[in-house]
Amino acid sequence: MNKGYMGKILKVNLSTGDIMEEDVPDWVYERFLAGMGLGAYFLYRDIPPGADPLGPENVLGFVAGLLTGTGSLFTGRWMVVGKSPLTGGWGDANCGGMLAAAIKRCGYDAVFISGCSEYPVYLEVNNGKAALKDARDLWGRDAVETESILTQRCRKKKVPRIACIGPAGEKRSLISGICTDKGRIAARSGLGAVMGAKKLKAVVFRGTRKIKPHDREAVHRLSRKCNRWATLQIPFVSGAMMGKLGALMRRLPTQMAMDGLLFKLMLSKWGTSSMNQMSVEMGDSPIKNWKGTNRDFDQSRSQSVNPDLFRQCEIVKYHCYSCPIGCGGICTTSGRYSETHKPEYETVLALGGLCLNQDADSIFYLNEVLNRAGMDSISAGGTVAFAIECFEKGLISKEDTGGLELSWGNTSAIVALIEKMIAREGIGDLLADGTKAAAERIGRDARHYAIHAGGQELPMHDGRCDPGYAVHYAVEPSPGKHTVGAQMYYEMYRLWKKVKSLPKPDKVYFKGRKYEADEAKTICSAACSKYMNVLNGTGTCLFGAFLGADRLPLFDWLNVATGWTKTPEDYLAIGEAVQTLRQEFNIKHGRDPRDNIPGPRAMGQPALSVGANKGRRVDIERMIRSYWRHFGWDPETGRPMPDAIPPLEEQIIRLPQA
Amino acid sequence: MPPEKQNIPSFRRKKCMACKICVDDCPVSAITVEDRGTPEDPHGYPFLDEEGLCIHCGLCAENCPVQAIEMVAA
Repeated sequence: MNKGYMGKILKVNLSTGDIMEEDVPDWVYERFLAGMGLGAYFLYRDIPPGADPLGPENVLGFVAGLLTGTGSLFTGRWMVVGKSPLTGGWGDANCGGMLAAAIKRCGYDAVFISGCSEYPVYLEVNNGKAALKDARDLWGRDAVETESILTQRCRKKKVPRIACIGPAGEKRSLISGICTDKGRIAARSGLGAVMGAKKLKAVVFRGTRKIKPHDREAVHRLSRKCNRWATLQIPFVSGAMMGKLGALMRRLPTQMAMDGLLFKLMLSKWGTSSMNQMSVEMGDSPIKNWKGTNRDFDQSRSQSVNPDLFRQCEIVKYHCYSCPIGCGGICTTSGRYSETHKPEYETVLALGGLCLNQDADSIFYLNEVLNRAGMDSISAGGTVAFAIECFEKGLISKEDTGGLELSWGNTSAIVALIEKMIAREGIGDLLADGTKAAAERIGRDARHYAIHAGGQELPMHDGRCDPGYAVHYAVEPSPGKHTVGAQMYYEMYRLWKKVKSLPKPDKVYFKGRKYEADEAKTICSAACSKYMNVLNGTGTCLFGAFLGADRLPLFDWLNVATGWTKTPEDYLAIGEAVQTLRQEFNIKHGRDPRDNIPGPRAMGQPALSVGANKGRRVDIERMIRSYWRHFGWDPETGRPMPDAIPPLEEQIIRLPQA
Repeated sequence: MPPEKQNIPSFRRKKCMACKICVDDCPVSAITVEDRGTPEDPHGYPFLDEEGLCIHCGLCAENCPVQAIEMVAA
């Protein structure tokens, strides 16, 4: 019976060379969906406690979404899952491009890879078959070169889609990721290092299997309706006005609940670079290693990265598979590389305002350098900012840096430092594993300047502006991620339209209310987490979700694609089950959930004395306890209590280890 | 080969979302997207890269959610 999923996974052991298929029973999809949930199920089952993340017992999973390829929109996301060497616990990274559908077209919902190869290999997968091939000639090549070579080498008729690591992953940088489509990257959790440690250079997918939903015509009807919202476009302000709009919003004592249609207009016009100035002015962007403010990167400086500049460089929009918006772009650049994927907001601010670097050319250049190296730009920028502050405080010297003068806004030093990190050269070797590892090696007060959650550098969204971000940085089983929830995200998800028990935000409210740690906020944060697990189980993009649950028919798509008759509440319960399973993974692997709480600076302790977030503190302890209590986890420790685990999960937790 | 089996995709630009579902659907990768937009329309739309590659299966038309592809006589 057609249900939108393929019903099989591929398992590869790089130590033995064994490759085999495993049928996945229907109940697993009904309980956990595909994508993240399928990953949680198999990784919980198959990675033994104490496994070295860079060793053969770790399992690296490439997972596609349940809705991918069924005719739904915004469902081209794929994920990598594994035990993270960066945090020591559950790791996941999400990415777009064309890979998600390519995985399913080989006949699988996921590929799970264990073991370590003796020498560099790549895995070639096509219709129900797979083989390991020698990759020694590719080792050392950057991700773009690797993809070009393998596309030509492996093409029969169908163009293959490729996931690969660059030099950063090969050198096991704990802030490396996995690349595809010459500029998209599953960047977080250091899973590029896992792939490098396995000596797995690439995975090539070249399949032509059909993906069969239960009722494709019904899926298409829903997609056509959704597309009317997605293609809605009205004239919008200029890029120069976006900064001014942010400044106005900063000055107002109140704010409006955000409607995602507004964000969609911004994405359609500029992509995420729409936020480059606006977010700084509002206080959303952390500045100068989280100790600065919008005053340190005011509009006269942030003008250098204004959204219109990025739009002018863009030669064509870039769409991920099944996305009608196309928030990405291909840009022309001057210098060493002629083209690059349009730098995302996270990259621009991590390499820009976080380091007080206002040189746009360097940001475009480093964007391509990091994409080719396969290094996470958020963590790279966060680590550079950390290094600059350490240099400022005398914890590292010019002798340590090989002569580099690490100072705020010193573009040439920032560029040189990142190149050293990619090569693991000199001080780059100290910094290539992120701020937590570097701080531990430097010692003294360095840990105060390392801004991370459980080892993962914080993204460019300040919890002192929207405390919802701070909560999710701390409580998510994969910490330090901005792509799950925030108070603004809850507003945009519009889940109350589908789940009547969920609170509806006020249209306008005083900003002070954002910082009150009340029960309603807990319910909203928990709903974000559950919903994101459903989104990640279906392959759905966060930006599609921002349209709102009444405009993005996710629950209806799921039912017509599978033939199920579940309610939105049923799907959120699935999201809750996946969250508990991921948290149980962390407990099983000895992680203390309290270690994921970011340090005091990012929480406003002490509060900033000037700027957009003047006086703002996040009551993080109370918010975390409340969140954990909501899930039925111990509010003091974050450990799931026995009652939190429905009987089926208990069976999984008690399964004999593979 | 009978005439209807020789049909190739015709892309209706005004309806098209440029979402690349058809690019992925094509079992022989005969469809690709433009690598340049225009000032008026910055999206890269699909086109038949090489007519000779097309195997006339109609999967692209069948699977386009917004019915932007029609199979027409070559």
